[in-house]
Amino acid sequence: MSILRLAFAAFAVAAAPVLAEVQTVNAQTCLSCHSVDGVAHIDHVPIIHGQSETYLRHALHAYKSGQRSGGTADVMQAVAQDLSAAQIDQLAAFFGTDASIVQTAPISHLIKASAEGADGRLVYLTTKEGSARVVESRFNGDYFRVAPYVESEKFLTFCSIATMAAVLNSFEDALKRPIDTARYPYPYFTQDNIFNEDNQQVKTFEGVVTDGLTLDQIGLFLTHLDVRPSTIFADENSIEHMRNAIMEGLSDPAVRVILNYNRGIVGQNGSGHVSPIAAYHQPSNSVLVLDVAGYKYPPAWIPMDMLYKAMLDVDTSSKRSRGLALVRTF
Amino acid sequence: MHNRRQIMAFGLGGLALGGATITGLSRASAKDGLAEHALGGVGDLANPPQIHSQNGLLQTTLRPTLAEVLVDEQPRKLRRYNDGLPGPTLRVKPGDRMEITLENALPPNAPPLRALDTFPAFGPGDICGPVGTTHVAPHDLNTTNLHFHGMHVSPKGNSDNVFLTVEPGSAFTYEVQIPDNHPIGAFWYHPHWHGSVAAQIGTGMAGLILVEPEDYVPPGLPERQVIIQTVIGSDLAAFDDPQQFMSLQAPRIFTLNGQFRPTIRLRQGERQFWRILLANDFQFCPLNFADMGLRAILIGRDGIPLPAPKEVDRLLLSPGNRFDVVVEGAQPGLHDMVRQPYRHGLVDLEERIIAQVQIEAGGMPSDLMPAPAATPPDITDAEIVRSRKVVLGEVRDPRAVFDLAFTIDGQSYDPNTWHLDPKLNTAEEWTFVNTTAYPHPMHIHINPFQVVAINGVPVPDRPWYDTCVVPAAGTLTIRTRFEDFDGDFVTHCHILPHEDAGMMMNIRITT
Repeated sequence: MSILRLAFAAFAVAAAPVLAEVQTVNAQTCLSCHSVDGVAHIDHVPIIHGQSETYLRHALHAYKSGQRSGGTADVMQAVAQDLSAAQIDQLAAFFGTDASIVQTAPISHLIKASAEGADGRLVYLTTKEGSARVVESRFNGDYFRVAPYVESEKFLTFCSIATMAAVLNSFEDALKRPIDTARYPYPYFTQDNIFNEDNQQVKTFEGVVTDGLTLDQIGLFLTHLDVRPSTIFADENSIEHMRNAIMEGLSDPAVRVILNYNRGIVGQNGSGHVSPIAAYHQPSNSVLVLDVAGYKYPPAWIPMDMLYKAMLDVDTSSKRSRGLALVRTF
Repeated sequence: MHNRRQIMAFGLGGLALGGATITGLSRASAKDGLAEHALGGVGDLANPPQIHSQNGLLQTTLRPTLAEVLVDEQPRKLRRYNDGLPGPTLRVKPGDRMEITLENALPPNAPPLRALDTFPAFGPGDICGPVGTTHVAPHDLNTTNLHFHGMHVSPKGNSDNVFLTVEPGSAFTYEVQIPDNHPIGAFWYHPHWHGSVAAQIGTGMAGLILVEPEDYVPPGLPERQVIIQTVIGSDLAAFDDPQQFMSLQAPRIFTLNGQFRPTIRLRQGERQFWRILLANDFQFCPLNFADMGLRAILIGRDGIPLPAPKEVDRLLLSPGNRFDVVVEGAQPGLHDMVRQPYRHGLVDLEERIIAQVQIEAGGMPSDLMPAPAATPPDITDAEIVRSRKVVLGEVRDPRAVFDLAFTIDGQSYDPNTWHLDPKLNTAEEWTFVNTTAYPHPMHIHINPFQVVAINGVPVPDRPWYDTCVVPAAGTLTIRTRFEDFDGDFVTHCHILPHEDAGMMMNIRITT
């Protein structure tokens, strides 16, 4: 009789380890009305993306208890009545931003936590050492080409989409870019117009919101965007080969390098992730990753041996390892 | 096909001959009532053939067949009653009896689309019909039965019993006693076999039923039946492909009385009585009369007369709705009849020209109206013995097309669930709560209902319907009296792919 079938295909909500014990809620139910792109399409349905987490939690409890009822509140009451307190927390955390957390957990805490997890071997771009490596690097051209175009992923699962948008925009006029009505007459790739008709055949917007893209799917998307991708899987190649591929890609102004790795393995919060690679620093044998989850971490220099392990991780969707996608303009 | 009917009607001109054939005690006629007004001829929309009751009995045969028919100048595969798109219009009076033999001349069913053993986890309780199929997906697309949509008649035995099954090659005779106090208005018949409803109505099976006393329509007022259908317009091989007809995005061809983009004629100042029926499976059809150059006076919704005529500019037709409207030519000229844009949940349906209205100058102004008819009394607070919430939802289900099944109160259609169990001669208030992002036009069989609130906001005039839309992520509150008839019937979404995907629930009226 439950309205939400709780055991269904997991949404990315459960990514954070602290939530692992909680039975996964099908947030697709929420998204169907509250919309995946954050814009409400049904007149009386509010936008909840970015609403205060505390408010959302209280509202869900008020619906569940029947305190809020009557009219359209009956809809939310029907949806909320079978949610457990833990599931309410989970949904509130997914859709909400909690002001108190922003105040008490500045980004340096996150960085410190992850640096400790990685034995202090990650060097963030925002540190003195991190900035110095960019200047010292002989493979830093892509940093200046790509960094201006990096925008944060619009959903937790949109790392691949945000990465493709940044990389494709960095080709500037060497690539024919779509023109959105909102930005007319300026051509620009966005996390929406990446989904052209061909790409929607590969995976719909909603599908990517649910569980992102695999490395193979990233390759497919790119073939439909007028560039030539080649995917390189870590389990089929040595660490030397992977490093050489990165260095060659960074050396060629017509090529960009996309990284698919498990960020948990390099000591950061999270798991499967995609971001552009911006530079290689020979003296420290580390790679600069322009994180498209800028709300979590600034760009980080990751030692090549850690990065290789993080690419060897098996993607549970594709059952294959992760790796690189080299993107070349025609 | 449709041209022949047009030509026949025109050829008979104003003569009252009518190419009548006698079927039993009923008078079947190809004559179009419009012909008496020099309407319905070449270049004007003709009414469907009509069958009248005689001496209190309408006796006829409805014979569905599957055939290739030119619709939009393209061959389409249609299922039609008596070779007509739509089927013949049945005209009866309160107190009449209908004896309708349903002769299922559709071809044998194709093998099941998905064998049950593909889904070993599901037990026999999930099966409906003779083959291994379920309650959440279409199957046995040529098995049929009959429903008398909106009529206040018995749901039992061989009356309006939608639990009956008429297999291809077999026949069944329905006997429907229309009570003396039956509301005066427009109703319709269509198949209602759970599993084949969407496919059959989506390929053309529907017809109008008009219930009215003698001399209801005054002689000087032309009556025009406007039966809007949206038949599946795919290539011929795909017409029965559930992946197609279960989708809102399927190509659908709007026809009026079976004609593609016909012209409707009237003169400035002249009145016509339009009996509008949206006899379709999925798409809503909002109409704007002012845009058609018409003044429109609404006198009945879903077969229930309004307490007083009401001038309207727009009407939202949900699948299954009827509107009885007296229209008057206001602006001379050629106007498009447009299915107005409609926001179908998250999908914007674009406007579509479905016909043209030609208003010629120099008509004779008229103030004719059909005879007044009784509206049921408002259902008062004191009458309500019980309030219920009926929750509409959706759920992933691998047995369903697109893996998406629909639910009422958390479950897809289950023939063994009877928790909606009102008592005879009581009234209840139900709030349909829609937890999905799409509108659901909910239909309740046998008894009409009065809409009291939408999204919790009271509706001042409390209109009567038998099918009314529950807004996306919204609520619809209705009141209904369970009068005269005990027995079993159903409530369901009249987006018929939703019904076939499980959005239906049993109702049992107990004494």
